[in-house]
Amino acid sequence: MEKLLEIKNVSKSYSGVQVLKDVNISLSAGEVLCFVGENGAGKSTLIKIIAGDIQANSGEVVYFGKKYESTSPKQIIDIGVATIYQEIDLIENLTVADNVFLGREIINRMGAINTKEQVDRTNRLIEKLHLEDIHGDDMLSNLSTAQKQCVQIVKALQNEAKILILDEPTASLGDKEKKTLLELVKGLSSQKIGIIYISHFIDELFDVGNTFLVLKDGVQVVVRSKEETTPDQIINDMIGRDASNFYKREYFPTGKRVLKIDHYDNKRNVHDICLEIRSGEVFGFGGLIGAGRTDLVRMIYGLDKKTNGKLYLNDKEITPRTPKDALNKGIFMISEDRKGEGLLLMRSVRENIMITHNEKREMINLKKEKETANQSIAAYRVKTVDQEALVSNLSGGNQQKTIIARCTIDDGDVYIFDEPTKGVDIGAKEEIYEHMLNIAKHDKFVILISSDMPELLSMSDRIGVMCSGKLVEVVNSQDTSEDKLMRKYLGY
Amino acid sequence: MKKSSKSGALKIITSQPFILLVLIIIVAVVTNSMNGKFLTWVTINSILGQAAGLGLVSAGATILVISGHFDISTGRMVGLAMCSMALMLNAGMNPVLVSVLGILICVACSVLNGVFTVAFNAPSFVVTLATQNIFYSIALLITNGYMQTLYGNYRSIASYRIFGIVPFLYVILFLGFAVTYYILKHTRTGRQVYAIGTNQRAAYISGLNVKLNKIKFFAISGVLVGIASMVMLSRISAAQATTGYGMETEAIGAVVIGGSSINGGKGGVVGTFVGVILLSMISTAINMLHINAFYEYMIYGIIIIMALAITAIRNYTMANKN
Repeated sequence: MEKLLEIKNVSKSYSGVQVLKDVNISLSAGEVLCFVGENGAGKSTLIKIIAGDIQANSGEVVYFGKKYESTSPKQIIDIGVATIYQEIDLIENLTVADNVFLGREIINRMGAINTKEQVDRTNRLIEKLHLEDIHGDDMLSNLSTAQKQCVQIVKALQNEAKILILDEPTASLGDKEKKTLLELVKGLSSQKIGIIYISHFIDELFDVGNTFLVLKDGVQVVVRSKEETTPDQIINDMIGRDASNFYKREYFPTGKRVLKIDHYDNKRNVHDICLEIRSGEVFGFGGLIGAGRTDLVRMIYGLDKKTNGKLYLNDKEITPRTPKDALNKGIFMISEDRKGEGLLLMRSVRENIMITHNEKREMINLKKEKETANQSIAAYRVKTVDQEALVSNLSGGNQQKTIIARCTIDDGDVYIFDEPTKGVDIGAKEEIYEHMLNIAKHDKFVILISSDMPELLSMSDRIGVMCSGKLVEVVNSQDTSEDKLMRKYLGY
Repeated sequence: MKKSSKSGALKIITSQPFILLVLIIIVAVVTNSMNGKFLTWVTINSILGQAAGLGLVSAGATILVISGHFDISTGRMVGLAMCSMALMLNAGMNPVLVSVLGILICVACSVLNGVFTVAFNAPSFVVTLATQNIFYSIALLITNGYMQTLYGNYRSIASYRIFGIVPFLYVILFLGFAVTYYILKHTRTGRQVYAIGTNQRAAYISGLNVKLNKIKFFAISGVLVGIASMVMLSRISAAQATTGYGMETEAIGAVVIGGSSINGGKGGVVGTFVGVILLSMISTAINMLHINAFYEYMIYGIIIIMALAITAIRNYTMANKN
């Protein structure tokens, strides 16, 4: 069979952190190749390399038998590789046909766009793909998410794509819509188009896929063909790590205080979460991206809107209305989006540490502020030239320590860590773990969201598994394993 | 740690206010060599006198620009406040009361700008583009389009000298800047200005009441614009609806020349002060060197471009260092 794409020994690292190592895979015409792995296994990085978005550090990617020295996204699209990301990449206020032909419009003799021809051709393509209910002259804004996904595929085919990359196309679709899309994918593969498919849903992968590339921590674990494998085997491939990946934390008895999360709901992607957490405990939330973990803690922090939900500390209601209110009640949150929501990148380390504390009074004692900032920098071992250095010059780990320092100047009760070690090197990771445990040890409540399985297992006392916005189960981390957790995440 | 003292001196020398100060000295020395009357008390008086109104408006604009906002209605606000005050004075009202009311008018107008910006989550540029027209109309309506002359009343702010030496006008100007400096550097409000100008989301999550704070920044600017109106009315001793128009862009220009980032989050009021002095000195110099006055705006434009270039070069070298 003709090889559309060959990936040879591809590796990639970001500032010393290896995210992909020696990946070898090929894609034939009519094949549906699935990338399988946990969050952060390297699937997205691999896609970005194929799409020409980023360059590999070593190894080569051969498209249609030809090697390219350097690639840009546009060049890759032009040679026939279309990437469809989860976010819809279309223009809402144009018709379907205008979107399909955007940038490659059919021009008539008068120099104007030949709308009729565009609509006709779009309709013919839509018919060929058996996509009912979509017409070339529909406004895109009137279509459902699934239909928009289909339009993206139509657009790719109009551009004569021979390789189609689908990154979690079904993540935001309902069951019926999902089925339509999967049928479309199967139809495309029979038309000799090579498809790379990414999804968290194992059943879906076994429905459409022929070949599975399993990635773990950026390393290629195995390549299996559908005939010779089972979902169980694939899940086993995804997990299982050396003991060295697990942090050995200190255990201490939990306290007497109780934090009660009562009926949190936003009628959207978080459904009626009830939970009790004990002081001195590290409570972990596990689940796939989109399971609703982040949405839940943001509601608890008073940041996102909720339709229902109350927070009680020892039967006393402390539900925050805004982040400011949360902070006044001793609830802190370290956002997963460090740069977008955590830091004032253009400002100094000092200002970043002191921002919350400075809210307490109008007049700031500069000398005292400087002392406090220096104490925090020393206590959290933030590596910086001095406290006036811009926080944007710090490494990811030191930026994270800066935010933790900010949250611990004043005494609080509840500390929410959302993906605290994302993009942090190993040394700083362990320091962050120590800080978290130190907080818990002082009879506080620590809530941890982590997509890093070893981290979640080794840091948490208990783990609440979330799946599609529901709290599926709460388990003692001592009594569970990567294997069991992964099955719960997948609802398998 | 060894590095810090050395880089501290370097930091001052390469800072925008310092570079502008050097520029001011150069302009002063060159102009003085061509016209010996330049560096005299009379000229300096005229420069600072001219700078007073613009300076106070610019100080307020600095706070807004650093917090990521613009108020392009300040010029019309000055016109409205001055006309209202002139009418009240001519009606025989107490000057002190009139001054307070003048400031209150500007605070009310600014708060209105802030409330619209927050309530509609709209760019303040567009909001103030709209409100400036309203302020202008009101000023035209209340004056019927006629100039209001004070016949020499209400002169004391501009002519009073403390101990017979220090002009009261300068004290107001310096106090305006000193208070703004203090707010930005030593108070929670100042930190909120920088935090909101840098990253609103992070500021909100860190516990700031972003909406209320934005209205507060507009209010502070309003106070300064009010004082500027008071000072200008006393100096000019007359007002019409068009008075003050153009100050808003000049003020934002002074802020940019002073090195504050138009994208918010960076800058300070010292630079703005030096920028204001530079602008009003250049217009005096053009006058005294008998250069065609039509060049004034060209030079003003070139200085803003130069300021941008200095900032760009500094950012470039800093990026290369890291």
